[in-house]
Amino acid sequence: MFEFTKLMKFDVKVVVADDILHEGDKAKALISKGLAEKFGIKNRGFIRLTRGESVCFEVLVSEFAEGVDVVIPDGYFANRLAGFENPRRFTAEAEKCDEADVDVI
Amino acid sequence: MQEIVCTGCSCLCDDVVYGDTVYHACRKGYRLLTGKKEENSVNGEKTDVYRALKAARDVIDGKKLLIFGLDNVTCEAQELALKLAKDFNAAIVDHSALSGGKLLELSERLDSVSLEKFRDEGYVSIYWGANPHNSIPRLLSRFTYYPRCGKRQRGYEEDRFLVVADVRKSETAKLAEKSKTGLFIRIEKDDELVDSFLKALNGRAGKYPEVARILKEVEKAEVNAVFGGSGLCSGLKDFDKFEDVMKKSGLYFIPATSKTNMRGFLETVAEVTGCRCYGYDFERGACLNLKDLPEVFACCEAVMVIGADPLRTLPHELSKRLAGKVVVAINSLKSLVRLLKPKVTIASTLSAFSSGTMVRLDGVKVELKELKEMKESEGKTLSDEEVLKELLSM
Repeated sequence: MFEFTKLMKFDVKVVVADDILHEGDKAKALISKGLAEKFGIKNRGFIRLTRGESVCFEVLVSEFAEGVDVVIPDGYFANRLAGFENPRRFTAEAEKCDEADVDVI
Repeated sequence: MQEIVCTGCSCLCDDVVYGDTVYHACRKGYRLLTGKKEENSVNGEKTDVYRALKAARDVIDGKKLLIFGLDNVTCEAQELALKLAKDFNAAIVDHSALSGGKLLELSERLDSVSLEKFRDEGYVSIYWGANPHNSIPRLLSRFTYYPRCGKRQRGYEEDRFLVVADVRKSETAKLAEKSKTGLFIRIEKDDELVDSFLKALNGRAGKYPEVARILKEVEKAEVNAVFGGSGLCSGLKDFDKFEDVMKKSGLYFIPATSKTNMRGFLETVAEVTGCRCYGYDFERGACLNLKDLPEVFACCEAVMVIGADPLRTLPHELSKRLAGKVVVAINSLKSLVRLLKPKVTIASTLSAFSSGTMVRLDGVKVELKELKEMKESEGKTLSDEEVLKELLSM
């Protein structure tokens, strides 16, 4: 069945944070309940963030993203999106996708 | 089994026991201490350390050099790296311009307190844009919130007041929210909270009325501190107003930057060059700031990465400029540097296992304890200091 949510795009507030649990080989992020509802994500899903470059994240709905929309653990994937003048807080465009990017190491 | 100083973050815990297993380390420390070790190689082929050193010296000779990293190495190694940069007329930078440098600069102008004194006497701790639960995992348990000692025998239930100011509900914020003696302020802009503090100090109400309660709690004890994290560093626009708040409220300031020895690097740069800056270009004889970094990264011909993983720690805008450069990597653990296809990789001893000095987040110098018996599987490696000494003597 065609998913209409896949056509949706939103501007989201992103915070890059130290998060030792979610750092790793796969791009993972936490999203707020509000954003998850917009995309129709229940517990976990996949979203693509674009800010110049694009990165696909596996996302978990978490209370730790309340206040912003997305929290990305500091590291390789966060750095593909972050600008050098304000690498910790920025906005990006979010849309649904099917799988997460995997680290090359 | 031997007690070592963990170099996983700027807390520099000196009670970690290392041997067949690791005791007392946090998740961050454990991962560092048990990480996969780097190997010496030249053009991707394994070799011994001395051949790698010779090759490293050969490839950097006569090239415009950039030395990058150094936040995870000892002050002694940082000093030698600066000497090498001077000899090669090179540029040298760490991560401080990107995050944390402004806080360390600020801490020099404000009153600070040692973590031991805060552990014994501290009452209000304000984590502003910081989430030590992840960035400095043992800070709360060793020093600021949980310990019962000195004047704080009744512990966190009654004797500590925890405040977290952040744009999101972090793990530390949840702790403050749940606690009877805690407060979580969800902020939108850091400067608005600064304004609220200034207004409350003048007896008026600002956007965040909780500030009045914080100031009331501050009056109950002499030692209260703000721990400023990377969120504060990137969110705050008016540092002068913040300085004003700190001075008027009598709060101490401790920069909660998680990079292990960033404070040491800035102090060493200041000592060697006489300038308080985030990096130095010896060719131009000028300090380096955030805005200089793209040019510095683009113009260099060779890059020496020391104790860092630029692909993990640098924004892509900067790290992509390293593609195609001659790279020499001096690292203890395997990292993404290998994607830059380094000409030479030199495996050094993890700083936690070598001797030397590092500067803790509160400015206290900590002596590292050299690991006497290396595991056989780890092989013999030189410390960062020894590697740089060898490079300088060639």
